[in-house]
Amino acid sequence: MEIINGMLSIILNPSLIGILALFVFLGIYVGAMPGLSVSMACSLLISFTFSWEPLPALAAMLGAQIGGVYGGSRAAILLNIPGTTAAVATSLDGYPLAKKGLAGEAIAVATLSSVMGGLIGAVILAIGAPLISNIALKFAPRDYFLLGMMGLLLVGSLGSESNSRGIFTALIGLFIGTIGLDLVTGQQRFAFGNTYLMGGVNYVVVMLGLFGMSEALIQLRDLSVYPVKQKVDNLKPDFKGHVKYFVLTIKSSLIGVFVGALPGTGGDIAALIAYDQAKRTTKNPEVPFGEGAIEGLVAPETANNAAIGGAYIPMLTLGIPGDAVTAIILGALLIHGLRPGPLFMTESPDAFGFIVAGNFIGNIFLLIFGFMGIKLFTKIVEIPKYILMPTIIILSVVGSYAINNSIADIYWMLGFGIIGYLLKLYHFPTAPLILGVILSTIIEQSFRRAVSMAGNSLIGFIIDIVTNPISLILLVAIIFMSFSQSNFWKKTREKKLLNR
Amino acid sequence: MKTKKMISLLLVLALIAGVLAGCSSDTTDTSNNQDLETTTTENTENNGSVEFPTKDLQGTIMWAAGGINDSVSRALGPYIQEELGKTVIFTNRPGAAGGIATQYVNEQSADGYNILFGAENPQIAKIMGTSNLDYSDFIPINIFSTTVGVVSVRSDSKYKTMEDLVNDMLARPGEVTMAVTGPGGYPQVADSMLKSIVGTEAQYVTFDGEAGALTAVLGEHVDFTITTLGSSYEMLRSGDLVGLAVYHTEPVEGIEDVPVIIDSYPKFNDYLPWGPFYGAFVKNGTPQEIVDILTEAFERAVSNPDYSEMTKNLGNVPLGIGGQEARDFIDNYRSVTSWLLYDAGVTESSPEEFGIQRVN
Repeated sequence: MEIINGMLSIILNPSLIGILALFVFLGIYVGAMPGLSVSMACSLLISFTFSWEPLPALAAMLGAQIGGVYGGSRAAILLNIPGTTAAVATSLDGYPLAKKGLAGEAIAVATLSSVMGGLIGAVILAIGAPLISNIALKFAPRDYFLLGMMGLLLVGSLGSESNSRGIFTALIGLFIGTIGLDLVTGQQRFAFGNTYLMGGVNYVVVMLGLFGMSEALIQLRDLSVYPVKQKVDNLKPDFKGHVKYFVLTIKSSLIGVFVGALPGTGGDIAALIAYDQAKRTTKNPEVPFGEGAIEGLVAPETANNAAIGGAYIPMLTLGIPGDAVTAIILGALLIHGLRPGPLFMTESPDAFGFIVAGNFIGNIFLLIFGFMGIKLFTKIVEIPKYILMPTIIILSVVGSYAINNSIADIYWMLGFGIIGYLLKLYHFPTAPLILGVILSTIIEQSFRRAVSMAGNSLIGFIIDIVTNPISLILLVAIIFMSFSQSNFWKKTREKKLLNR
Repeated sequence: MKTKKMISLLLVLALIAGVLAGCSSDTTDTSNNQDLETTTTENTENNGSVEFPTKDLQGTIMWAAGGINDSVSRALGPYIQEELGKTVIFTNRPGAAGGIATQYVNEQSADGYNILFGAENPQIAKIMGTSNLDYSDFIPINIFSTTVGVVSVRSDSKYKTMEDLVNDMLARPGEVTMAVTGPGGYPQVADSMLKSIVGTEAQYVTFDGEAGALTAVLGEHVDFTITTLGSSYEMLRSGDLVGLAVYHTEPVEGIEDVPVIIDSYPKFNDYLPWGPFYGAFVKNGTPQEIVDILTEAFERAVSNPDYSEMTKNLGNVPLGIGGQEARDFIDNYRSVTSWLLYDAGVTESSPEEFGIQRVN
C-alpha cells in the first residue's frame, strides 16, 4: 500500500515531476556528448544535490540516468562514436543508416526502443524484483565466467569481414584488461612500477580513443567527402511499425533486465548480448546486419534501457549495486539517510515506489524529449568535417580527463586513438577490442574465483560446471553458438539450401 | 581551401581555450595556479601570523564517488565551510588502492590547501610494493571514523557460533571457503589475525569488493566472510546474514546481539581495537600554524551531531581524533597490519625494511 503511496507521491507532486523531466532532458544531452558518461553525471549530481531532500535528489539522478543511457545512442548513430559504452552495439547498425541519410529514422527507432525497454524494465522491477534478485544470487562465479565466454563469441558478430581480424583485436583487448594490480595476489602486471599503470586502463578511455579520436582521424583523411543530406521529414513515434519487433523487444528487454540485475555487469554487456542474439535469430532482415538493419538498433537500445530497471533490482532488494551508476546512486541514498538493502521495501516502501514510478514517468518524458530534438540533432552530421572532427577530439580529451581527473588517461586515450586509426586503416574492426577490454576482467576474475571455489582444482571446476543446472545450460548454449559459427556448420547448411 | 584551413585552425584554438576556461571554472583542477599563490602564502607566513585560508580548499578523495570514503568526506564539506569560511572542492582520484591520490597530493605544494581525504589503504602500500608513499609522508589532520569487522554467514548456514566455524576450519584446513577482497583488503587481514591466533586456514575466493564478497555468501557460493560493518549492516539487520562475531572490544551499537570476538578468543585483545579508518591529511612540510588551524576546524566539524549521525548510519564508529592521537592510531594500524600480512606470507619484504616496528 505504501509502495503505491510512494508512486503517487511523485505523480501528485509537480515539482518532483519537473525535476525528473529536467534531468531526463539534460541526461539526453550529456549522454549524447562523447566522453561525458552517465556515471560522471551522477557523481557530479551527488555533490550538487547534497543539501536537497532525498526524493528530489533521487529524481534528479534517476532522470539523468534514464536520459543519459538513451542519449549515448545519438552520437553512436550520427557520428559512429558511442556516447556511452552501452551504445557501442548501437553504432554497428545505426551509423550505416546515417550514412544512407536515414539518421532521423534511426534515432526515432532507437528512441522508441529505449522507451519500450525502459518501461518493460520498470514493470519487471515493480513486480519481479525479489524473484530476479534470488536468481541473480544463484549465479556463481563459474556462471559469470561462462557468460563472459559467451560474450567473447560476439566477436563473430562484430568483426565484419574476417573472423581472424576480429579475434586478433579482441585478444589485444583482453590483454589490455590485464594491466594493473592483480586482484588476487596484489602483484603488478605490466605496470613496470608505475603508479598510473597500476591503476589499470579504464575501458571508457579505450572507447573514447578507439571510437572518438580514431574516427575523427580517419574522417579527416578525406575532407572532400561531403556529408549526406539527411531525410528528416515525418518523424513521429511509429508504434504500428514497431509492432513487428514485438518478440525482439521482449527478448532484448529480458536480456537487459537480467544482465543488468547481475551485480558487476551492466547495460554495455546487455546491449552487446542482445545485439548478438538479434543477429543470430533474425532470419531475414530487410537489410543485412552491419549495414543498417533496424533489428540491430532495436535490440541493443531496448536492452540497455531495460538494464536500468534491472540494475536497481539487486540494489533495492540486497543493497548491492547492479552497475557503476547504481553504485553511485546507492552512495547518494546512504548520504540522504535511506538504506537500500533487504529491508528497504518494507522500511522505505515509499522510496521504493518512488523509484519504480520514477522509472515509468522518466521513460514517458524520454519519449517526448527524444522525439523533440531529432531534426536539430541530425544537422550535426551535416556540419563540415573541419569543424566537427576537431570538436570530437576535444570532447574525447575532456571526457578522458573527467573520468578520474587524471592526465594519464588523456595519454591513454591518445594512444588508443592512434592504435584505432591504424586498425581502421588496415580494416581491422575496433569493436572487438573494446569488447575484449570490457570482458577481460569478468572472465579472468570469475575463472580464478571459480577455480578457488573448487579447491584450486581445474577438474573440480569442470565437474562444478557440468553438475550445476545454470552452468550446464550456459555451457550448452556456448557450444551451440560456437558450433553454429563454424565453417562446417555453415557449409552443411548451404548444401541443404542448395539441395532444396 | 587555405581559408578553410585557417578557419578550422582558429576554431580549434578557440575551442581549446573555451574548454580550458570551462574546466578551471566549474571543475576542480586548479593545480596550475597553485604555485603562484603558494608564494604569497609563504610570504605572509614569514610575517608571523598566518592568514589561512584565503581561497578555496582542494579535497582529493582516494576512492570513487558513491563509496564510503567518498560519503564521509563529502558530507564533511559543508561543516568545514562553516568553520573556515571557504569551500572544499572535492575531486575523486581513485586507482591503485589509493596510490594515485597520495601521489597526486604529494605532487602539490605543502600549503594546506591540498587535503587528502583517504582511507587506511596507503598504510600497507609500502610493504605491498604498490606505492612508495604512506601516511608517514603526510600529517594527519583528523581521523573522522573507524569501522569494525563482522564475521558473517548465511542465515541457514550450519555454523551457528564462531566456535562452530573455527572448529570446522581446524578439522578441515584449507577447505572452508572465505570471500576476500584481495591481499591487504580488510577481509584477508582480519582472517590473518584469526589465523595467527587460532591457526585456522581458509580457502580464499577473491572478489573485487566487499559487496561482491557478501553477494557470494548470500548466494551460497562461499561459506563465510569477514567484512566491515558498513557493507553488511543492512543484510545483518534483515537476518539474511548472521553475524557470528564482531571484531571489537565491546558490543557495537546496532548489532548488539552479535557476540564480541574476545569473548571466544581473548587473545584478540592484543590486536583490538583495530580497523580501517577514514581521515584527512596534508603533505609533510605544511607550516605548523596552518596545520593547527585545519586541525581545530576539522575537530569541530567532525564533532557536529548531524555528522556523527550520518557516520553511524554508514556503519562506522565516530572517532574525531587529531594531532598525536591520530598519528598513534594510524601508526598502530600500519604496524599491526603490516606484520600480520608478513606473518601470513602475503608480503615478501619485511616491515622492518621500512622501519615498521612490531607492536604485539
